[in-house]
Amino acid sequence: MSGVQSSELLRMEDVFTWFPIKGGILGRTQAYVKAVDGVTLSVRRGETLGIVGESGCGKTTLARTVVRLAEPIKGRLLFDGTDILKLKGGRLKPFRRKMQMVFQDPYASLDPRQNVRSALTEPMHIHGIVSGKNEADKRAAELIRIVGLNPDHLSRFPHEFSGGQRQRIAVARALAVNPEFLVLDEPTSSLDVSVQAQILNLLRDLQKELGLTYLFISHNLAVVRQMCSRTGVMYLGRVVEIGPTESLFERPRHPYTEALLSSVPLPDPTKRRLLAPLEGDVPSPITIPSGCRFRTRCGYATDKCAEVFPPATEVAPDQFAECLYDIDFAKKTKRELPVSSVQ
Amino acid sequence: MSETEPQIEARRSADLRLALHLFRKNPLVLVGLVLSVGSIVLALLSPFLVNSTSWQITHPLLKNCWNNPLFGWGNSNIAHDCSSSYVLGTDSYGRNLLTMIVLAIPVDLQIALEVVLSAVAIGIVFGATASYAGGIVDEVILRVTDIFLAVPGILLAIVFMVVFGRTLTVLTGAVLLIWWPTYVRLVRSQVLSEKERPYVESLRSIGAGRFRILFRHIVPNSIYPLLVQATLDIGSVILTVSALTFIGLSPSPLLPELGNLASLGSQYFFTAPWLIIFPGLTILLISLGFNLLGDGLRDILDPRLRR
Repeated sequence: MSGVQSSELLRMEDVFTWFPIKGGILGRTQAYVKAVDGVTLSVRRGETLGIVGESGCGKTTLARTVVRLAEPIKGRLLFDGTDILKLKGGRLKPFRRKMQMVFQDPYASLDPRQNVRSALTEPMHIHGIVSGKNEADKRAAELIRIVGLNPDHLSRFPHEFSGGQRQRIAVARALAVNPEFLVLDEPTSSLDVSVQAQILNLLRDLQKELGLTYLFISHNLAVVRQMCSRTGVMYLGRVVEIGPTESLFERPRHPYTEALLSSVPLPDPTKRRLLAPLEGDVPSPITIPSGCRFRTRCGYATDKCAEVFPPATEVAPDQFAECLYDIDFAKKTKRELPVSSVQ
Repeated sequence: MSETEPQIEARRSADLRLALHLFRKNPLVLVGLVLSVGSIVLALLSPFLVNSTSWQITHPLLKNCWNNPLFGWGNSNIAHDCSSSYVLGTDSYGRNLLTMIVLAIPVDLQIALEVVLSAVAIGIVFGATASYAGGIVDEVILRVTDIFLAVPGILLAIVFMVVFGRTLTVLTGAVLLIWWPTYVRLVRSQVLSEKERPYVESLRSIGAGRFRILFRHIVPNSIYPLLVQATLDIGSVILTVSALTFIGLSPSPLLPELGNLASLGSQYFFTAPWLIIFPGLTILLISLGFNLLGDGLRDILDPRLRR
C-alpha cells in the first residue's frame, strides 16, 4: 500500500488464525475453523480504522489476534516495525502496554470482586509505570475523572455501576498504562443508544487529547461511518474491501460491501433499495468456497469466480477490493478488472 | 478520595439488612449459627471451665454413677458411692461425664478444623494448578484423586492408622486422606468455569501473569462454594473422627473425644444409657449446627440471590 498518509503503527501481513476442531478417540485435529483467513491491513498512526462485518465473520478474532489473545498459525504482526508474533513473555510485555483492548461486554470484563481503584491500579503495577501506592491512587483518580466519573466511585465494585459507567471504567483501565493503540471490540454494542453516543464521544475526545490510534470493531455501520477515517469490510475471515470511510460508503466496489450497506434500513420510506437483500446463509468458516469466498451469495458471480482467487485491487485512491470485476450496482453491469496494483 | 462516611454507613446497613432478611427467611441458619458458634465458644472456654488434666484421673469407686436429683434413670442408683451429684453422671472410669464432654469438644473441633483447612489449602494449590495448567498435569492430579476416591474412606483411614500408629496427628492425617480429593476436584471445577469468564481474558490483554490471574482473581472468585463446602464438612469430619475412635482407633481409651466416650459407654448401654446418649447427642448437635450453617451460607452467598 502506498504511504499516502502518516506512517503505519500496526501492520498485519497474511495473518491466519485458525482454530483446530478435535475429534475422535485420539483427539486428532479433523478440521479448522478459519476465523481469520489471510488478513493484510495496516493501521496508521492517529487514525481510527473500522472493521465491519456480520456476526461470525471473524471481527472479534481479528481483534483478539492483534492483542495476542488468539495465536495466529501464520503471518506477521508488525507493531511499530517489530514482529510481535515472535515475542513471548517478558519481551512481549512492553508491547502489551502499548496496545490495550476494550471489550464488548462491560458487565463481564471486570473482575466482580475487585473494586475500581484496584482494577485501575493493577495494570500500572504490572507494568511498573508508577513508583508506589500513592502515585497509583493519584493516577487512578485522574483517570476516573478523564472518563467522566467521580473519584468517589473508586472504592465501589463493578456491580454497583450501570453498563455505560462500566464501559467508562474499562476505558479508564485500558488507558491506565499510557497505550498508543486501543483495540475497541464493539465497545458500544451492549449499551443502549443514548449511552452509546456518550461513550463514542468520550472515545473521540480521548483520541484527540491523547493522540491515540484505534482499531474499531463493530457491526453497526452508522457508528463506523461516524467514528472511522478508514473502514475495512470483513467476510468469512478476510477483509474483502478496505478504504477511506466516505468513499467506501459512497461508492462501494465489492458486492458484499454493497449488500451490507443496502441492508441498513433507510429512514425515508419513499426510497427503495437498489438491491435485494442477500440470500442464503454464510458458508461455514470450516469449508470456505474456492476462489472468491463470496461467490455463493453474489448476484454477479461467474464461473471464473470459483476458479480465480481475487487479489486485492486498488479500485479507487487508497480503496482496495477483492473482486475480479468492476461492478456498477445501479445499472447492474460489470466489467473485468485488469489485475493491477496489488495491495 | 473515597466514599463519605454516611455513604459507607448506608451501604453497610443495607448489607446488614439483607443478611438479616435472609436469616429470617431461613431461621434454621440461626439455629446452625447458635450451635456452631456455641460449640466454638465452649471449646475456647473449656480450659477455664474444667480442669484439663481431670481426664487422666480415674475413680474406680465412682464407676457408672447416676445421682441426678432432677430425674432418676430407671435402673439408676446402682452406684457404689454417689454422694455428690453429677449432672450427666459418671463414666466407666468414674470420671464426670459433663467434664469429659466439655474437654472433648475442643479436641474434636481442632481435628475438624485442621482437616478442613488443610483440605482447602491442598484443594486450592492442586485444584487450581490442575485446571489452569491443563493437559498432562491435570490428568495426573485427577487420576491420583480417583485412586483415593475409589477406596472407601473409612477403610483408607483404618489402614493408615494401623500402619502409622494411633496418635492424634495420625488420626488427623487419616481423615485428611479421605477429604482432600473432594476439595481438589471442587476447586478444579470452579477454576475451570471461572477461567473462561471474559474478565480473565481482559486481564491477559493487560499483561497480567498466570500466577496473578490465578491466585489474585480466579481463586478469590471461586472461594464461596469452597467456604460452604468447608463449613458443611466440619460436621462430617467430626462424625468420621468419632466413628474411627468409636471402633477403637482412639490413641488412648481415656482420651476425651466424643466418639471414644460413646464407645466406652456402648458396653453399658442397658445399665448406664447416659454414657452413650450424651456424647452422641453432642456429636449430633455440633455436626447439625455446622451443616445448617453451611446450608444457610450457601443460600446467603449465592450470587443469584445477591445480584
